[in-house]
Amino acid sequence: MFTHTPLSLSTLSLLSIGSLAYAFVAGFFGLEILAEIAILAVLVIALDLVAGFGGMVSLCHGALLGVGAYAFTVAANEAGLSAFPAMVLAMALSAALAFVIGAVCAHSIGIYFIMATLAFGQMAYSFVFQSPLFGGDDGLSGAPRPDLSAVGIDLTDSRAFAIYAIAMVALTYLVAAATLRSGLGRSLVGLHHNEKRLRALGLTVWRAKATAFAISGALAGLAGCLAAQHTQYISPDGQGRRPRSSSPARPMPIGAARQRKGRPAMRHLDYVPMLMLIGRPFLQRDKAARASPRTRPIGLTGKLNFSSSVNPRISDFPLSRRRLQPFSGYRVPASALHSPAAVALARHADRPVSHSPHWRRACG
Amino acid sequence: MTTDFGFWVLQTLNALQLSMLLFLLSVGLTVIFGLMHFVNLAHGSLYAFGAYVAASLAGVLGYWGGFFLAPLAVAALGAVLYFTLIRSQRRAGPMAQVLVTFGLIFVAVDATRLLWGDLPIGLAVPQVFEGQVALLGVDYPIYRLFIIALGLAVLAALTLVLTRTQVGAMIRAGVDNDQMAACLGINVERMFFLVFVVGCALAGLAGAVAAPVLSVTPDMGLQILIPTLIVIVIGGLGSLKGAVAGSLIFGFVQTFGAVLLPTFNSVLIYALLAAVLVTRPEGLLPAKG
Repeated sequence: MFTHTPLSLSTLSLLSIGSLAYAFVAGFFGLEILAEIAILAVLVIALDLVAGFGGMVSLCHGALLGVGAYAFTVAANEAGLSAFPAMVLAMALSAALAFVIGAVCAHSIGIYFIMATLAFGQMAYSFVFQSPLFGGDDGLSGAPRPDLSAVGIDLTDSRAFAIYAIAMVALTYLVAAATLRSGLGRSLVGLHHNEKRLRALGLTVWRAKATAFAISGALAGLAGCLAAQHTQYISPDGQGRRPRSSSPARPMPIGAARQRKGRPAMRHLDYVPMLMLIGRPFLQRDKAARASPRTRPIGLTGKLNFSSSVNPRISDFPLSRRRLQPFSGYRVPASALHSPAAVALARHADRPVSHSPHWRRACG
Repeated sequence: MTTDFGFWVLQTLNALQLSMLLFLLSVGLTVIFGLMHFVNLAHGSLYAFGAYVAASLAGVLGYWGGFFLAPLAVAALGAVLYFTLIRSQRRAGPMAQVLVTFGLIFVAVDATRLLWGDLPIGLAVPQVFEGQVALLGVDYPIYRLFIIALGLAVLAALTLVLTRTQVGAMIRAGVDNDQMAACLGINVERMFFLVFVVGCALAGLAGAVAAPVLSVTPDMGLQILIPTLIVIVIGGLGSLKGAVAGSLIFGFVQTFGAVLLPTFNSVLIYALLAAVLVTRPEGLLPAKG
């Protein structure tokens, strides 16, 4: 379950204060790098939502970022929308695409899921690359930055844009945290633990997966819009940004607890610890997850045991959150899906299983 | 154009050549996955390393020196990788494996850039295979026919080993159910090592063979990785027949798609992959089930 420990809260506040402070003292180059870090942080949070918490390793998020970037640029240039409506449209589009991908791939597991998302990501990239509307290899330029002159902020200034990007990271974090605390988020984590149990308890698995994927896709689209606004030029091979998922894991440092693989970070190693720590609060895991190798937290925070040891209780959920799940005859509250009993059942079910098809068939 | 018989012959030969190249790469990868359940995304980098070693050795020992020594070098590298990284990550789940091997790709790309530089390296076709031969009405390069013949020879050899020898039977048993095979007394760990090393050697062979045809660049591994993954997923994981089927399907769809439907070509193969994954996630001809 997603909770904040004092350590994670302090790390998070330290990071936010640090990045904001840096935004005020840095020169142009530092600000550009800071904005790039913020954009990648948004993407990482989006990916960690499904891959880290949901166990659905997705190689299509680069393409979702690209879809967001291209949709934003095309909406702003061709359809003449101003920046914020274009952003909303771009996020909606990438959310819809992510919903479709999540729904189609919902019953694939493990490596097949990874390959399926890779296939869809590459399809999106190929489509964008070959369509004349999107400029092919030449890319598209002229993506506008939002006009905040009503509030007195000029986003063409690097400092303002860097702070705006950091604000977007904070917004993304809040959205992700809210998602993870909702019934959907708990179902997502439960799916990572043991999908069959949740199906038995009455959850519509494909819809939960697709919805979580859609939220993650919307956030990836937001990252794409920010990327387009940052360099104001996008192209398939990503001097602007990278809709190309051919380097699928490049925007996939999963919770940033692993060493950042993006080129900006490699050139400026002093930003790497910062980026690593951004993701740290996300790798909270409870004891149930630590039990099985499949759901054990990996990476830096996993080793350092930043997990909370709280099992969710029904009193954790306010009455407003105790929704009923519509399912044939069964009325199971969403909270029960992650109740202590269900968690205990899931934990015990995580025994190593044979890969034989007979065993799998016997288990249902 | 499409009524010209020569056109069809030419494209069929091109498709066969691409299929055989991909077959050499994918057969190692699919048996590694089927047996060890290990996703080795660094397989493309091994192929690139084989191509670079072959290109370097060809300057000293001639083409055939590179041809025979490159697979050995890549097999040695594979052995080192196995003992350092692969063995510990085998049980860690797909996410950790993907990340580790993906990291290896980046390491390999930059290592080749450090050692051999950024510029593409060329490798000359051996004199025996220079030139073209008239075949069924078209002039086709002899070297590409050699690639096709080599692929078929490797296919025949692997089929023989897998179906007629005891080692092959043990491998097939391991692919079916490695725990039961271990219970029956088969040394599964040693078999994994053997399969991994042979898979790496085949990737090196593919690199050495492809070097005169495709240019040897640092990112050739990444370029071939996705087609290889598509091949094994379409064909089915763990089986030789699956690798053959997958590479033939990919080769023919890519080649004829590029010629007949150029606008849809790249989307076509990924749509095919998605369709296979959604309807038959284990592939068309998987080892089990």
